[in-house]
Amino acid sequence: MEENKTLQFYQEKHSHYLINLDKEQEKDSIGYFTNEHLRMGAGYWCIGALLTIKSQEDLQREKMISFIKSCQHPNGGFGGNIGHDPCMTSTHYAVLLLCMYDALNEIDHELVSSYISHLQNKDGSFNGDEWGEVDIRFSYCAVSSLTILQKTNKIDCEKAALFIDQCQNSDGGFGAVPNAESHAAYVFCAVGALGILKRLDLLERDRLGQWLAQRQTPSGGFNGRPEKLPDVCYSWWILSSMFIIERQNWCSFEKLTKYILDCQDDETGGIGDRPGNMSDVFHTYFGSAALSLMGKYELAPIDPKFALPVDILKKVIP
Amino acid sequence: LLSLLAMEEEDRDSLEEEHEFVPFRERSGWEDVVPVPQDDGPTPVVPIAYPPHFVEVMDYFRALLSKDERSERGLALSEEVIGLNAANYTAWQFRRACLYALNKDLHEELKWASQIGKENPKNYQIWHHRRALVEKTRDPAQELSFCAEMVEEDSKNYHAWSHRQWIVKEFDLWSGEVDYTETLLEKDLRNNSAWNHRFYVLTHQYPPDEAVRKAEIAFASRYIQRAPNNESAWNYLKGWVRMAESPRSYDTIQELCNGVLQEYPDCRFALSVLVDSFEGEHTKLSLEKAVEICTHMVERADVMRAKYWNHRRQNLEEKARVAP
Repeated sequence: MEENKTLQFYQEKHSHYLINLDKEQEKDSIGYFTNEHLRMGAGYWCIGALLTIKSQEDLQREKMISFIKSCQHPNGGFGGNIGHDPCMTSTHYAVLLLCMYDALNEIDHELVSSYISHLQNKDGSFNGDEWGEVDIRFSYCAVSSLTILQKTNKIDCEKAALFIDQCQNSDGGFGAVPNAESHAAYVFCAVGALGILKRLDLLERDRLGQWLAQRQTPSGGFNGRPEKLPDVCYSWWILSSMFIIERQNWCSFEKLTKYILDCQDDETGGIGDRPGNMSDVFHTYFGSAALSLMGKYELAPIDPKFALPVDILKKVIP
Repeated sequence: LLSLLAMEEEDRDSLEEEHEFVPFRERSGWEDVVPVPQDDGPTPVVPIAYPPHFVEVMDYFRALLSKDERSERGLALSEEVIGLNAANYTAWQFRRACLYALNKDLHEELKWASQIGKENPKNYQIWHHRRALVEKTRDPAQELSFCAEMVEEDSKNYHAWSHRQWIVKEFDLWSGEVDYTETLLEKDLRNNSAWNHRFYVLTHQYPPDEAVRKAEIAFASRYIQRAPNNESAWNYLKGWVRMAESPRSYDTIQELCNGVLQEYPDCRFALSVLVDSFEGEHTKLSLEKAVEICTHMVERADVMRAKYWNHRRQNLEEKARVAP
C-alpha cells in the first residue's frame, strides 16, 4: 500500500471482499477450517459489516436462518457450527444474527432464555457452558441476548451487575474476572452490560474515560492495555465504551479515522488489524463499526451497547 | 483475543503435512463405527474445501459424539481432533468426558496438556482444560512453572496470567510471587501484566501497610527513572498513590515527578501524576498548581487528549474556588 494514497473508505471493495469470503477462503482453506467452530461468530461479523457499510448485496437470508437453526441444541443453546456443542458466545452470536435478519420469531425465546439463564451462578457471574468457565464476556453475552429476547426476568440482574463491578480495577478498567488485568475488550463487556442493565452508576466515568483515552497511541490507533501495540478491533471496544459513558470526545476522532483507513487493503478490500496486514472479517466489521460511531462516510448507525444497527435494534427494543 | 483468525505460516505448513495419516478403514478396532458426514444442508452457506484426512477424522468424531461413547478410542480420537484444531471446544469437552469416565490419571493428562499448550499459546480451551483438571486433582504442582514457560514465550499472555492468579489464590502460593514479577520486570519493564500481578499479590495477601506502600512507590520510581515514558510503571505508581493517607505522602511523589520533568518537561505521565497528587493534597495552592498543569497538557504535553484535560481543569478550578 502506498504512503500517500488519498485516505478514503473503500466501501465497494469491502462489500466485494465480504460477499466473497467463502470463495476467498478456498485458497486459505487450511486457515479457515481451524475457525470452523467460529462460523456463527464469522456470520455475525460478516453480516454486521455488510449492514454497516450499507452493502446492496444479497444477504442470503433463507440459507443463513437455516444454518443458524441447525446449530441449536435441544437445551436451547447454539453451537459455533453444526455439530458443535452449545455455548454462551455462540448463542449470543446466533441471537444477534437472527436479530439482524429480523427473524427472532424463528426460534423459541423461552427455550433459548432458559439455556442462558441456567448458566448464571450464585455470585451473579455466568458460565460459558456446562463445563463452568467464568468470564465477563459471558455476562455481556447473557445480558445482551436476554434483553433482545425480552427475558431478563429470568436472571438475577442485580447480582449480574454486582459481579461485573467486582471485575473493576483501581485504574477504572475491567478485567475478565476479579483482579485480572484491565483490558479494553473486557471493558467493553463490562460497560456494555452495565449500560444495558442501566447500572452505569457502578463505574467511575471519569476514571474509566481517562484509562480508555490513554489507549490511543501516537499512530491514532488504540491498544488494549498499556504498552501494547494498537489493533483496529480496539477502535470498537474502546470507542463504543466511551460513547456509552459519554466520554467519546476524550479521544481524537481524526487520528483514529486515519488509523482505521490505513488498515484497509485497497486491493482485496477488507480491513486488517494493523496497516499492511491481511484483512479478515472480524477486523472489517469492527473497523467499519467504529467509523460509523464517529459518523463517517454515512455508514449505518450502530448501537454502542449491542453492536447492532440502530434501526434493527429499534424493532426489537422500542 | 481473537488472533487465531490470522494463522501463522508455520502452523499452516504443519497442518498440511499428512503426519503419516492412517485412514480409518486401515485401523483395527474401528470396523463397527459408521462415520457421520457433516450435514451442511443442500446448499451450504459457507462451503469449505477441507483437506481429506480432516474430513475423515471429523466424520468419525461425529459418530462417537452422537453415541456419547466415552472410551479409549474416543480419547485417542479427541487428541487427533485437537491436533487438527485445538480451538474445537467440543473436542475438549468430549475429551474430559472420556477422561473422567475412564478414570484416567489427570496428572499425566496435565503433562500432555502442557505440550499442546505450548503449541497453541493463545487458546482459551487449553487453559480452561487445565483449570478443570486442577480443580479435580487439587494439585497445583505443575501450574506455576507451566505459566512461567508460557510467559517466557509471550510475556503478556492474558490466559497465563489469569491462570497464575487463580492458582496463587486458590492454593495459597503467594510466596515467591513478588520476586517473580521483579525478575520479569528486569527483562521487560514495560510488561503491564507483570506490574498488574505484583499489585495483585501485594494487595491480596494482606492489606498493605504504609511500609509496603512506601517501598512500592520507591520500586516504581526506580523503573520510572530508567524509562520515564513507560505507562505501565506510572500506572502502577498511581495505584499506590490512590492509597495515600496523609498529606505528607505526596512529597515523595511530587519529588519523583519533578525529577523526571527536569529532564523531560513534557512527560505526560509525570504531569498526570502530579495533577493527581495536587488534587489529593487539596489545598487552594495545590489545586491551582494542578490547574496550571492541565493547561500545559492541553497546549503541549498531551494535545491528543486536550478535551479530557479541559474537563479536568474545569473540575479543579471549581475545587480551588471553594478550597480553604
